[in-house]
Formats: sequence, structure tokens, C-alpha cells
Amino acid sequence: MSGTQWEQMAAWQIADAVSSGEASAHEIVSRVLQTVRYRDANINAYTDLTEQRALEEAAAIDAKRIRGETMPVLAGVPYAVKNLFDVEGLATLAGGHRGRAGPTAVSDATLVARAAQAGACLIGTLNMDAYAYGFTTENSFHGVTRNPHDPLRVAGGSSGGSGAAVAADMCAFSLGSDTNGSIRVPSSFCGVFGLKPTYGGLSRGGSRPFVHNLDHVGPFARGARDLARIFDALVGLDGRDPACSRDAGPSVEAGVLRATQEGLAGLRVARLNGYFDRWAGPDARTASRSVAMMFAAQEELDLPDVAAARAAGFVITASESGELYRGELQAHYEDMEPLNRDRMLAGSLLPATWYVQAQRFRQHFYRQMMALFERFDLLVAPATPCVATEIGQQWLELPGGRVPARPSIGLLTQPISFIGLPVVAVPLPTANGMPIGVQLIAAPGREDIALAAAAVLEAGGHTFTPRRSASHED
Amino acid sequence: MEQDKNPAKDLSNSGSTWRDYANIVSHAQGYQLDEAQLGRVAAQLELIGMVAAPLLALQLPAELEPAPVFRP
Repeated sequence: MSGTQWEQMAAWQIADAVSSGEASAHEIVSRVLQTVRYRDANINAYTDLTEQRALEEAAAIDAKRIRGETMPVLAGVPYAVKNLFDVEGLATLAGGHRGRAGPTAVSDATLVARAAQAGACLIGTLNMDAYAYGFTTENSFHGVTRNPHDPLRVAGGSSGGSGAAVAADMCAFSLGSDTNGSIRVPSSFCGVFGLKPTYGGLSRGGSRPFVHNLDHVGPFARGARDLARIFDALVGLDGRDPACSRDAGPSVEAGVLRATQEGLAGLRVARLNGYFDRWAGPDARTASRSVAMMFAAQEELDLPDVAAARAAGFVITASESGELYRGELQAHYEDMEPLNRDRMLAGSLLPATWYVQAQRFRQHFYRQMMALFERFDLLVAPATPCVATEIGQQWLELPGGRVPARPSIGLLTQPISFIGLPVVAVPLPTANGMPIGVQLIAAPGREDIALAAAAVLEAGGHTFTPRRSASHED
Repeated sequence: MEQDKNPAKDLSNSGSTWRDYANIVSHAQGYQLDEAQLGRVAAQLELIGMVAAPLLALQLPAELEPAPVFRP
């Protein structure tokens, strides 16, 4: 297909084209590498390129097709990973100072190895908030990742590079991590789809931890079908991650396709208001109400104790990350990220009783939410309080009050990841042209429901479509 | 769920208390913080305390067990 803008295509379209011989993996990977070289100087999503590896993986896929072998589900799809995933031959930065990074990784993280097994081609590693502690990807060592839709705004965080790279056509999908919102916030700000699976749903093996009790990993992509295909390719038990509890099962992608064709009759949907409206600006409330209307939501729910859930997530995050980095803070404070080292150090000083209370409350909140899922299949809530904030912005003005921006952008995501529920962040348009995300929240293990609902919104033309500038070759 | 007295709120009303707390506990944790660091860490403790307040105000039933390894 001469002139096809492969860098804008969905991952499943690329894989189909490579598998059928319509295009070579080499052609597509080269095209995306060219896009990165042209575009990333203004966005700063990548921290390292793995060009040689990408071209070798592409050559291996093309050879496979020529030999007539069965093609894998992500054949020739260019992707990139947040720089907290181990990539063989690279030092795993986790957003920190290069000089403080350990030795180069001797093997790939589990998900990187599985992506390679599925035929995907690794383009490089992506910028993030240092140690994954932040929501803006304003990184003192590697620079700010700019929002592809407005370079004066942030891409969100902590997986900001992962969101921006997909939004700017610099890879077809990416991997990120989400402890308190770090997939859903960049999805919202950058206008791409993000999946935070159930806690333990995808292996964290070979990724740098931040908060063991809350860390999740998952994909970003341009649509729900891609997320489903990537999830299917990556899911599976893994002894490297003690929390990983999900084995491969029925195809989620097949369910997504079915929903796109047949709809989701009988889906029981509720919209979360109360806390979620109090801490949402007008764009976020409008987006969440629009989605609720599209699904003919049966109820609006004002859940009790959501502020306590957010508080508990905040305390667990501060305590565990403070403990994890205590040695670094003691010995190398000056080499740590100035934007979060004091919060991390403060976290290491918190009373143990606060942490235990947070963990006990977690069970209470989980049970309360599980009771809801007896009545509803899907809950709808805004993903971020507002559209992407400006670089350097210090405060958010919200209906609930004025709050410091950096720790508060995850106000609406934190209570959900706190109990490990699967969420798809779906981007919607706003009046000012910037995207904003809505969380589609399902019961544990029901990624299929959230992804099918996202696919139905996408098929109905309700989701954000980026205004793309002319291709660099046009 | 029952509301309890909120210790974080009491501390957040007194900036010097958070500084004193940081000074004592940081030594116990092996840090050697200068005055400027102490001030910044105390400010962060105050922020965490404010966010934590709705949690700390709850009186949880004794039978509610913690979830150190969480498997939904």
C-alpha cells in the first residue's frame, strides 16, 4: 500500500498487513523510527532508542513470513516501553539519574519478552516521572515530556512518555505502569486508550517496583481492539512476579469484536458522582456524564469513604516507596529527583499505624465495591480532574477546593487502583480541542467488559480523534 | 463507619510539631538532614497528614484484617 501512513495505523492493522505480506515489518519499523527522529525533539518521549534491535526483530518477522510460518499476533508492530521495564543491554532508569542506574539488564522484563514472542518490534524506552512518583513527567534528569496536542502542556504521568509516544505516532503501542493512575492520567491527557488491568493481571516481572502493593503494568494504544489484542498476547502466569495470578484465558479481543458488532444489550451501568464530581472540573464531569448517557446508565452512585480510599492509597504509596528508596535517600539524596525526594523521604518517616490502618481499610473498601458489582457490570467516572495541565502548573482549582497540582492529578484514579479493579481509560474530546479521559471500571478479572464497552464507544464515534499535522514526508 | 479523633489534623495545626517529629524520627531512620531539608520534609509530612485525615478519622472494626498481599 504505497503512501500508507503506517505510523498512524492501529496495531492490529499493522499485524494484519505484515502477516498478509501487504507491507514488510522492515518498512513499517523504518517508517516509525523516522517519525521518532523527526518528531521527538519537540516532545521528548524517548530516553533511549533501540533501533538495531527493532530492525533485527523486523527482519526476523519478515523472514518468518517468507518461510510461510504462522505469523504471531503482533507481527511487525513497533512498540516502546516505560524505562522502568528491563530491556536487555540497557540500564533500567526508572526515571532516575543515569549515573545512579544499575548495570545494564541481562534479560528482558517478562512483558518485553512476551511482546517479542508475539512479533512486536521494540523501538526504545520512554520517559517517566522519576521512580514513577508523579503525574506530570516533569523529570529533572531527562526533561519534561510535552503533550503532543499542546507543547505547553504536560503529557501526564508517571507513564508520560508512553502516552505521548502513542499519541504522536511514534509507536503503535506502549507499555507503562500504574500505581495510582500512571496509565490512566497520560491516557486522559494525551488522548489515547489505556488499560490498567486487575492487580496481578499482567506480570511485573523485570520491572522496577515503586509500591509493591499497588503496582500494575499495562498497555497504551489507539483503540480498544489493540488493547485487547496486546492483553491477550501478554497475559499469563509468571514466577517472577509474586502478585501475578492471571493465566491466559479466552480471547478478550474476540469479545471486543463481538461487542462492536452486536452492542452490549443488558449492560448494567452506573456513574460515580459525589466525590468524583466534587474533584472534577467541568470538562471531566461533562465527559463522564456523556459516557453514562451513551450507556443509558441506570443509576448515579455517591459512594461512601472514597476520600478515605484515596487517603489510604496515598499513605501506602508514601510508606512503601519511602521504605524502598530509604537507602538511596540516605546515601545519594543529592542525586535524587528534587521534585519528589522530600515526599519520598517523608513517606519513610510515617507512623506504622497509618500504614496498617490503610491496609485494613483496603479490605473494607474492597468489600463495599464488590457489593456494587452484584448490581452493576460497569462503573463510569472521570479519569482526571481536568485536561492536561500546563508545564510547571502548581495548583488545581476544582469544585472541591484549591489543591497542589502534582500530587492531586490522580485524585480520581487513586481510589480505584487502590483496590486493584481493572479500568480502561477512554479519551473523549472537549470543547477546547484537548482530550480528557473517562474510566470504565469493571469487577476484578473482567477486563473484557471494560474493553468491550470502550470498543462500543469507539465504534460509535464518541471518542477523541487527534487532529494530525501533515506527515513529515508530505 | 465511625469517625474517630483525627491525629493528623492536630499535628497539621502546628507546623513546628511536624518539624520536631521529622527531626526525631529522621535520626531513628538513619538520615542526617540539614535545616533546609528538615523544613521541606516537615512540609511534605504536613501534606501527607492532610490527605490522610479522612482515613485516620475512621475507627475500623477490630475484625477487619489488613491486606498485605492483596489478591482481588
